[in-house]
Amino acid sequence: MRPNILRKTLVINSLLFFALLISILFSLLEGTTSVGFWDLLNSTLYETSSTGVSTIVFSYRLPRILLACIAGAGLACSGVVFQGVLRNPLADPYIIGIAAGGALGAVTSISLLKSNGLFMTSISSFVGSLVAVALVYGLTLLRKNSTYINTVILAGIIVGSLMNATMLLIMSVSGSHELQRVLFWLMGDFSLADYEQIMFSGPIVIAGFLLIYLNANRLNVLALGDEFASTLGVDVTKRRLLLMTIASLITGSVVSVSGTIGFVGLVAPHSMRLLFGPDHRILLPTAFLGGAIFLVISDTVARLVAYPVELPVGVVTALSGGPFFLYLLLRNQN
Amino acid sequence: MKANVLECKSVSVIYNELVALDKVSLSIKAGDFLGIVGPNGAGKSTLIKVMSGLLEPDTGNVNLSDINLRSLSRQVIARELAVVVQEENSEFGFNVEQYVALGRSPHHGGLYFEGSRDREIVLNALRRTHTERLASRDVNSLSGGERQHVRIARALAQEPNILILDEPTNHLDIFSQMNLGELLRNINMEGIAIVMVSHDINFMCQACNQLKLMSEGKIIAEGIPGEVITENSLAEAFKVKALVDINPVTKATRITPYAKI
Repeated sequence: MRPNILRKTLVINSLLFFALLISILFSLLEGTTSVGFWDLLNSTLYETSSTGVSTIVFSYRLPRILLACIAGAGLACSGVVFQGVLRNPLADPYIIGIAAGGALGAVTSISLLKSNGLFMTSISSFVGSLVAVALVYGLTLLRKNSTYINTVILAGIIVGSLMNATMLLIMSVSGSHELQRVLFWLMGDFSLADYEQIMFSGPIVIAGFLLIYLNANRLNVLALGDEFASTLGVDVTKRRLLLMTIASLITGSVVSVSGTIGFVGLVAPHSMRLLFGPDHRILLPTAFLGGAIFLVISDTVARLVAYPVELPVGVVTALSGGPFFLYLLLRNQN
Repeated sequence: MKANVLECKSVSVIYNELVALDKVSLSIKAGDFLGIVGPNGAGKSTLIKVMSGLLEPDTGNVNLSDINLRSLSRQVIARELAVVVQEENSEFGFNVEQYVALGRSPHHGGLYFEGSRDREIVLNALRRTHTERLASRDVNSLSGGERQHVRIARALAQEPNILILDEPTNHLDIFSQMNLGELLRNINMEGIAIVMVSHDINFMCQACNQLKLMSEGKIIAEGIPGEVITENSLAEAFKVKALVDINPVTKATRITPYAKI
């Protein structure tokens, strides 16, 4: 019969994990100052004081790379959940207004509260995304008798546009210095990454992923329809709410530390589905690792391609994700 | 006397003041093959939903092996009772074997990998429904008849005592209908009770041992097909004049509607 799914899952994900390590290493070594592998090893092993090479690599590049991993993995696995639960291939982690909520939170902190600390902006953005999710869930409770999925998507659009409008209002009365910071935040940016952000979002993303993975088989059934899932023993209302809440927390925590990086949550799940099929037991971990690889590479490109200027990573993901999206649309026509 | 596998006791469902089911009672025993017929809006689909536990009745109870459905979890229900609903669709294509294997999920938790017993059951379900040759095909690429067989294979993988089908002959050509009827009779002979709703009265008369005729939320006639399907009962339920006779080849009751009343 079929090749053992457990073995397939383990083999594919070991390979992807290896690919992730390679891309991390490449990204650590490449930059405006290129570092040789042996130089890095020497400086790590033998230099007692943090000089030159190891400072660049460990204080600047490593946190940035780790944050890119966390963000890519988190956005991709939450994209898988939203696509599966809402049964909509165009769904992404931002579909229920989380990005708009997070952005409004960040803009409020930067422009209105004039906070300079990065951590304050992150917290404020996280709170903003939670408010957006709470509003969307609240709206779905008001419309009890209609199709749940349509209500969620509509409520997400309404909440998202309201929050966007509020954000634009705040931006229109902000000074140019703040606007610059807001703009970088909106485009998605890792250049100010530090270990504090990693300690905040890392545990949420990893714990969230594990909780979602414990429901991988239920996601398989949910992706085929509410009634179908119900007759196959899934408590649809409860599981759907649980999965969407976890995915929202992951997304909110990622947005709060990296801004609104587009397309990862859409492109990574679809690529992995094309490569390895729709089974969530394989799809979830491969998207998790694939999303991390995609963002690490995108961020490396963002650092290198327009040297000495650095691009925001969101520009790179959008420029590479856009054509991919077009390809998906054309492919669906056939 | 055989024990009741599934039993509805005076079940009523009211949608916004419209009575969809009006104190319906029925019981299904092991090995039964029951058909439910009736005009549009008679409450057939509502009854099916109530019996599968997808819809909670406003009054009355549904018992599965003498236990109230309300007190059972979805997972426990799904181990006893398999449902084949009209359409389920996915943008993300599973192949036939993966799809049939989903039938094992009520027997496991939220994360599991099929063991050798699961694989045996899935293979067996494919074999019984003659769908082994489709195993690696995308479910979305199948014809209507093939898809119906694959859905039933998935239901068999649940190892149910009861199989409930809603309009299984919809969109099927006459060959596929014959094929489906034969498959369902074979499954029934293995001891699985079947409850089926369909508009195709001739198909139902051939396939089912017992029929219930519904009209306006009530069962107005029940028994073997020859007793239930008469010129009078069709006139009452469907408001049509129909010729009712016996098919000389199959000996099944046969109807030929010819005028409105």
